[in-house]
Amino acid sequence: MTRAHSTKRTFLWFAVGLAVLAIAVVGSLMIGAFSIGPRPLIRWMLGIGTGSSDDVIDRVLWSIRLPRVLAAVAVGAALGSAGATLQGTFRTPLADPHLLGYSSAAGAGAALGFALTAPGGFPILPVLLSAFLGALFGVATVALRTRTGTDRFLLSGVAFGFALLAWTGMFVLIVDSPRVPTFLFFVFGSLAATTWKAVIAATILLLPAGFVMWHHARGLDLLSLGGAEARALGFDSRRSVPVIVGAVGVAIGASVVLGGVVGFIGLLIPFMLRPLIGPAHRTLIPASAIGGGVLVVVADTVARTVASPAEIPLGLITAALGGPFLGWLLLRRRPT
Amino acid sequence: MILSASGLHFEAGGSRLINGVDLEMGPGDLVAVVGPNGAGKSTLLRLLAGAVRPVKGDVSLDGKPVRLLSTDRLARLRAVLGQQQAADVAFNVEEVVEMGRYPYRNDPSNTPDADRHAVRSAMAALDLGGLEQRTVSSLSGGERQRVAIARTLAQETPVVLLDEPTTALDIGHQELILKVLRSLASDGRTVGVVLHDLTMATRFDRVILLRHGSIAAMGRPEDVLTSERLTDVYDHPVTVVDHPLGLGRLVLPVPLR
Repeated sequence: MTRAHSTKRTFLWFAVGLAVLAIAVVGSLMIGAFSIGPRPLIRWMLGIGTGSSDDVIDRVLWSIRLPRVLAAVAVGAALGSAGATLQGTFRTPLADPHLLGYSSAAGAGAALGFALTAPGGFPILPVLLSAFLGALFGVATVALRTRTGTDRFLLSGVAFGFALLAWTGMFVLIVDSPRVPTFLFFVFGSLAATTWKAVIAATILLLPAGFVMWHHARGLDLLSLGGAEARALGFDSRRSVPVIVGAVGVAIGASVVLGGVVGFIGLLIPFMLRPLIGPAHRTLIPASAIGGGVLVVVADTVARTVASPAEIPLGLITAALGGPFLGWLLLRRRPT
Repeated sequence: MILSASGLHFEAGGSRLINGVDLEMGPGDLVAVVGPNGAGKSTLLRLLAGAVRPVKGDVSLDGKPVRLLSTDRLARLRAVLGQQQAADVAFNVEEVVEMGRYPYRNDPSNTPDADRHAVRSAMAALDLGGLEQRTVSSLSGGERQRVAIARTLAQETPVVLLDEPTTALDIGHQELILKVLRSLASDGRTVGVVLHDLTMATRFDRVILLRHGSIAAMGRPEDVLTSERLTDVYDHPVTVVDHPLGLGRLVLPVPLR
């Protein structure tokens, strides 16, 4: 296979990925308690902005489904790209925002922000800020733990994650005990309460964070040779890793504000994509963003339809898929 | 480019590993660093590469201390190959050799053609034709070693430092490496190589013999690699004999009884 071939193949995979994402988005817009056929959907799409606001279809799509589906894409993109980036940074396919305790730290931060500002709904900015601070706290502990070797590093992440999950639950239940949905949101993840405001705020954070991750892609490739080799080749990991890990923190914070703590996306997606598009982070990071988007859109559609009118928390769906996968991954991994 | 070290001292874990080393290598120099286990060969190479900081003393490139150079700038001035190469690399051979071009990613005078040419000639020099698309983790130890050397060549730096580049290689490829190193030196590069194989070291321009972190002798191989001195430094009887076909000299250990 020549270089031209492999570039062509990468483009092909991106085209396929984007097409699948588009299909998932359109499908998710159509499916639900109130199902919408292809013709009304197309008519609505063509008429966006023409202002037929009393139309039921318009209300369902514009106010409920479209922001929710876009939030699913954003959450999936954040978690997928964060997973690919963390795996490159820490040289292990087991690095995942959830397993490392990142998501839980952001979740605890968001819950604390929520607890301190409640009652009064869901104040985006304070919650976003505290989710980000929580994620930064997670980042700091991740940075401290990198010296301990992979196994301890991951195990300490799991322990840390459990503790933060408990704190998250307490923060929420102390101020909001009658409202189980809020608790479920923070602990198991859900996109049920998505608003346009949250989608826009999270996207504004995600884009630069994604760019920073992608910008360091070649450096992450070098890290696969080992830290000393990467440094000898001019990749200053002491300077770059905190920046990369910080960008991942921003992405995770944004995803937690949108959808709570959703696990396993960052683990599953890069693992599935590597055999298809190769290990180079320049392609793996954006591809994982697309793949994560697809998986979360599909999982969220399942979450809101399978037990309709009740909703299953999104994080339960991804954990039900991802848990067994992680077990399998650990069992088949050769001891190193 | 002149690589020089003055008054180098280095300590780790409370023990002194390098103890007052002064040296200088210049363009066209092909220098072997030899010595028994624990003499400080690899540590000296890492100090010269700027990978670790000396406790005392300085390493300079053309008079400029390496500690003042950015990681990036340093990577365009010196290439360095460590002793151990990661085995679980998922990239293919061509991609890994291309990583040697990373230091030039922001260099306005660099072109994609220059990258391609550097990668291609490095792979050709190391006899890697046909392996371009093989995943590094699927290669043998010796093949991986050649890929790593090719990556260092692709860096196209005036200073090249290698730690035991021939250890995992068969004799044919050992000779190939020596030829490559010689052509780098005749190109005007400064080449420093840590070696275990003392017979190989006799074929370098200069030899630095280390003992307990200090230079025991430095100079032309015929002056440094003598039976008496090696017997003393290695604490084992060593003989140096002429090659039966007149092809230089052989350094041979005397078997223990």
